[in-house]
Amino acid sequence: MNNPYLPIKTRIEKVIMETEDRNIKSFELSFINKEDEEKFQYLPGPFAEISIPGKGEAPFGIASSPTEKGVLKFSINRTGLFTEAIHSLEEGDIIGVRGPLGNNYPIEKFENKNVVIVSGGFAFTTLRSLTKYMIHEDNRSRFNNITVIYGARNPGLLLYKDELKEWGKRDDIDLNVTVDAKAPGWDGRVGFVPTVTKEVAPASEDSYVIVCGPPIMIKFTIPVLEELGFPPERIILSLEMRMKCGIGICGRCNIGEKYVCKDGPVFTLAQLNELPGEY
Amino acid sequence: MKEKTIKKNELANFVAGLLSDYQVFAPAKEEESLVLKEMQAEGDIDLDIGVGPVNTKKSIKEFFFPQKERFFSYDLTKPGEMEEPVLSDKKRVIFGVRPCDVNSISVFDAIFTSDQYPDPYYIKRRERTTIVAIGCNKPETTCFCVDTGGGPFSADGSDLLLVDLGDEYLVQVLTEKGETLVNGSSGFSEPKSGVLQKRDGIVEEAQKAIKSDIKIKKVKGWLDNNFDAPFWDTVHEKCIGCGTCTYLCPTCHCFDILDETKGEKGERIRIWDSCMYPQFTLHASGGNPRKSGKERMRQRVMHKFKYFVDNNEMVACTGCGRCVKYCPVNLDIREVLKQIQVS
Amino acid sequence: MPVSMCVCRLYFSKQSEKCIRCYACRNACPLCYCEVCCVDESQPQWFGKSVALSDTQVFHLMRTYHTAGRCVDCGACVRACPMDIDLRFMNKKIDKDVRELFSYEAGMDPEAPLPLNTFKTDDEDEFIKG
Ligand SMILES: Cc1cc2nc3c(=O)[nH]c(=O)nc-3n(C[C@H](O)[C@H](O)[C@H](O)COP(=O)(O)OP(=O)(O)OC[C@H]3O[C@@H](n4cnc5c(N)ncnc54)[C@H](O)[C@@H]3O)c2cc1C
Ligand code: SF4
Ligand code: SF4
Ligand code: SF4
Ligand code: SF4
Ligand code: SF4
Ligand code: FES
Repeated sequence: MNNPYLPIKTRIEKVIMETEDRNIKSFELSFINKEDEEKFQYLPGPFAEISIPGKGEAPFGIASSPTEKGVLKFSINRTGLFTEAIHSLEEGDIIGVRGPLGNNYPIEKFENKNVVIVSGGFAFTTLRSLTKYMIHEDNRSRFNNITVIYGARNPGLLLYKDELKEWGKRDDIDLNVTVDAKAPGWDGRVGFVPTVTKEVAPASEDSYVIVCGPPIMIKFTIPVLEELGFPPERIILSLEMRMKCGIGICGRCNIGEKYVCKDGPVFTLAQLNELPGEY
Repeated sequence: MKEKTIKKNELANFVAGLLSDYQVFAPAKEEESLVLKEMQAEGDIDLDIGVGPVNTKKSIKEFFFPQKERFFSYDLTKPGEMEEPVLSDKKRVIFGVRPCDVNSISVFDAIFTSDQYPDPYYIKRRERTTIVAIGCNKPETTCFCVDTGGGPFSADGSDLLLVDLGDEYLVQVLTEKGETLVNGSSGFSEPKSGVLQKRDGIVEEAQKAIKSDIKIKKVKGWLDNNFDAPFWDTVHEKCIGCGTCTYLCPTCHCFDILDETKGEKGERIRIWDSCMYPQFTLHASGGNPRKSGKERMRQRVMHKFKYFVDNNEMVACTGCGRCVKYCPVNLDIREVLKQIQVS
Repeated sequence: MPVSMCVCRLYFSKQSEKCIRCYACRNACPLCYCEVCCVDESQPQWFGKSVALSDTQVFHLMRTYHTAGRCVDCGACVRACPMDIDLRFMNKKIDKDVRELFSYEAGMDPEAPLPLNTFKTDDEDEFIKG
C-alpha cells in the first residue's frame, strides 16, 4: 500500500530568483529515485505538498510541464515561516515532495478550440505549465489559437522573463504581457488584466478561458468574460485554500461538499456557481 | 447471522480466555466517567457494564485514529532520511462498545479506506481489532441514535453484539472475527426458546425511550437550500468555539499535520483538529473563509448532515449525544436540528 | 524533594493526562482575552500542539501563570472542561502565593496594581535586572 503521507525525495538542481523584490524564487527539482519519477505522472494543473523536516509541509502549484522530463518546478513567494525556509535552501539540498495532488486542467476539452489564459501576479505557475505543455511541438496542433494574457504590478514582478521573451517571438501564440502602470524601461503594454482581456480575447465561440490570479483580479475579470459571451462552463478557475493533507480527508479545504484539494483545485465557473460562496 | 447465549457469570471467563491471544480493552470507571482501559490481568476490570453511565467519555475513534499519529521521525543532521514507526500488529478486542460508537466506524471507513488514498495507519489498526459491542437497554436522555439511522441495538461495525437479557447475554455473531472469538470459548450455548422474543421486547422498549424525533431527511432537504439563511446568524451565538463537540465526537475525523522538533530530532505528526477553530481555515495571506463562529457552526452542521451525506450517503453523526452532554454552553445539536426541521 | 511536592506533581500529571487540548477552559475563561493565544501562535511556536504529557503540562502551566493575579476563581474553566480536570488546583496555589507575598486578591480592588504585571525599573530586588 502506498503511504500518501510520506514525501518522496528530490534534489534542488537550480534556484532562480524570479523577481526584483527578491520575494519569488523558482526551484527546479530532480527525482532521486527513478521509480518515484515514473510514478509522478501529471498533466498541467495539480499541486504538491513540499516538505521540509522541522518546518512542515505547504502546498504549491506545479509550474513545470510534463513535457519537461525529469524536472519538477515550483515558484515560491516568500510570505511566512515555511516559504522563508524554502527560500533559504540551496542547489544540492534534499527536499521532500508529496504529489501530484488534485486535478488537472480539462485539456481534452481544449482540443480544436481557442484557449485564452488569463493570469496575474505569481498565480501564473500552473498556467506556465499549461502554456508550456500546449505549445510543445507534440501538442501544439491539438489546439487552435492560444492567447496568453499575463500581468504584474510592475515589470520587475513578472515571472519567467526569459521564457516570456521566447514566447513573444513565436507566431503560434498570442502573448500579451501587461503591467499596472508605466515604468522606466518598459515598452510593453500598460493596463490591468481585465481591461487587456477585453481588448485581446478572441470571440467566445469555440473558446475556453482559464483564469488564475489574486481574488481581486478574478473578481473583475469574470464580468468581462461573461460580457464577452463566455458561458460559465467554459470559464475555468484554479482555487487556493488553506490545505494540509491534500487528499480530501483532513477536512479544512471544502467549499460545500467539494474539497478543493481533491475535487479541485481546478473548477469551472459553472461548478462554482453551484457551490456556496465560502471562499 | 448466528445467535448464541452466554450466562453472565461465564462472561469473565470468556474474556479472560482472550487475554492469551489478544490485548483486551473494556470500559472501566475512573472517577465519575467510563474510559476504555486495557485489562492487565484476569478480572481487573469489572465487566458488569450494564451499570453506571452508558457510554465512555471519549469515543472509540482514538483506537483507530489516535489524537497524535507519528508519520516519521527525522534528524536534521541527516537530510532526506526518514524513520517510519513500526505499528503493532498485536490483535486486540475492544469490549463493551456501544452501538453509536461501532456505527461510527462506517464513517471512518468511508474517509480512511478509499481506493485512491487508503490510510495505512488506520487500516492497520482496524485489521488487528475485534469489537464486541453491547446494546443499550437504558438509553440516556442525551441519546438520539434512532434518529441518525442507528439504534440502541444497531450492530453495524461490530463483530459481536451482546444483548443484556438479565441473567444472560444474547450474542449476535456478525463477522468471521466474531466467530473466531465465540469458537474459542466453551461458554456459549444455543438460544433457548423465547429468548429472541425477549430480545425483541427489550429492543423495542429501548427504542421507544429515545424521544428526540429528528427527521434527518427533512433536515438535509432544508440544508440543501439554506446556506445563506438568517438562521445561521443567531444559532451559533452562545458557542464559545472550543473543540469539545468535535474532539469527543465519534465521527469527527479532521486533523492537522505538523512537525515537532526538539534539538536536532523531530517528528512529523498528525493531530486532531476541528472546524470549530478559526486557525483551521486561516490562509497564509491572513484571509479566512470561515472567519466567525457563524461560518464555523454552519460548517459543522452542514458537514455532518449535508456534505457528508452528499459524498458518502450517510450522516456523519451517530446520535451518541456526547456533544450534547459535554458542550460547556449546552448548545444542543438536537435543538439545532429541530429548529431546522420546522423551518 | 519534600513529599508534598511529589504528591503535587503526581496529581498534576494525573490531571494533565486527561486533557484533550480542546481549549474549552481557555475559551470559557472571562479573563482570557488575547487576540492570538500562545497555544495558537506559530511564529514562534511556544510549545507542541499534541497531547504528549510534556506539552499538555506546559499548556496548563502557561495558562496558570498567564491568568495569575487576574483569575478570580470563578470556576468557569472547571465547569467547561469535558474531561473533569481539576483546573483550579494550580490557580489556587498561585492565588495563595500572591496573597501571601503581595497581600493581593484578584477582583477585590479594580485600582490595585496587578502584582504579576507591574514592575518598577528602580526595583531593589534582583529579579528585575535581567
Ligand atoms: C493549491 C495551492 C497552490 C499554491 N501554489 C502556490 C505557488 O505556486 N506558489 C506560492 O508561492 N504559493 C502557493 N500557494 C500558497 C502557499 O501554500 C502559501 O503561501 C504557503 O503555505 C504559506 O506558508 P508560510 O509558511 O510561508 O506561511 P505561514 O503563514 O508562516 O505558515 C507557516 C506554516 O504553518 C502553518 N500555519 C500557519 N499558521 C498556523 C496556525 N495558526 N496553526 C497551525 N499551522 C499554521 C501553515 O499552513 C504553514 O504550513 C498555493 C496554495 C495552494 C492551496
Ligand atoms: S462544544 Fe459547544 S461551545 Fe464548544 S465548540 Fe462545540 S458547540 Fe461550541
Ligand atoms: S455530532 Fe454529537 S451526537 Fe452526533 S456523533 Fe458527534 S458527538 Fe455524537
Ligand atoms: S468538519 Fe467539523 S464537523 Fe466535520 S468532521 Fe471535521 S471537525 Fe467534525
Ligand atoms: S446513543 Fe444509542 S447506542 Fe449510543 S449509548 Fe445511547 S442508546 Fe446506546
Ligand atoms: S477544557 Fe479540559 S480537556 Fe479541554 S483543554 Fe482545558 S483542561 Fe484540557
Ligand atoms: S487539504 Fe485536507 S481536505 Fe483538503
